[in-house]
Amino acid sequence: MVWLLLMVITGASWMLGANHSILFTEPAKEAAVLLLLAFFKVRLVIRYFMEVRHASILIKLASEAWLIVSCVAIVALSFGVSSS
Amino acid sequence: MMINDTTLPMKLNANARDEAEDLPANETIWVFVLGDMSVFSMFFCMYIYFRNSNLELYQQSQALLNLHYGSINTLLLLASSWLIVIAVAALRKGEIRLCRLLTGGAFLCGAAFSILKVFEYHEKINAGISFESNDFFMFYYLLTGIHFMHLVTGLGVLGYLYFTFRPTESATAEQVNNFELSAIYWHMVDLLWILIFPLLYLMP
Repeated sequence: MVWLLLMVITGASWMLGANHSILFTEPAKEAAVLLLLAFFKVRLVIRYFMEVRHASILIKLASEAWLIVSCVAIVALSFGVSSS
Repeated sequence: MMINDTTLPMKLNANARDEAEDLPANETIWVFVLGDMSVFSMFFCMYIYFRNSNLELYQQSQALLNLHYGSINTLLLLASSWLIVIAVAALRKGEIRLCRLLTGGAFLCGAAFSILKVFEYHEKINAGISFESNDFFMFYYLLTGIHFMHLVTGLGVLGYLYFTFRPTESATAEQVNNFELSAIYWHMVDLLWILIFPLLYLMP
């Protein structure tokens, strides 16, 4: 099921990338959606494929910390926050 | 063939996963994996920062990439990762033959990724696009190149695992643990590509 979801999101991202502005006319919003979808996929891989949902609390916290910091930094930068 | 219970600690039983990940080796692989992922995150931030400062150049250069290669490669790595997930489950149940078969399948998906990637590099180089062409292509070759090195290492590990397992023998606890650690590494290779793909190929 998780694998199917990952494939469907990849297909949706593929369509979004091939047809820019199909969802949002503003590039910043489209970029944010594409990146958030990617980070959602990453979280699924970490939790289900890498089995972090069954791992020790230390590994859970460390991987979630990496995910949150990376996601916030990359999505914020994609909005051009740092250059404004 | 079932794994002999005397060679496989209860910790590795599928019903006792909560305790299984407390093995020291698992903590060590996570230090490596999260460290590696953090370095990539820094590269991703730098890429986005420089992309914002010269958006037009990056968009024009990105348009020269073949989106479909990136998408197919994403699907290939997802399929490869999923095969390894099932392979780990099969190994824990002692189904070595099935585990080998799935590992072979995962290897082939990874190999297909690398063939497509080499083809893509070849196409770019033939078109006169190199590391020095511009900032976008510097990031393109850097990110995909480092990822490619990770992938080739992973393929080596999968190949080693495939040939190490003898279908007629039962797996030792050490082999099961090594396989689980290799699986974590292989999923990291998939995970990094999941982020590289939208950054280089999809961003508007």
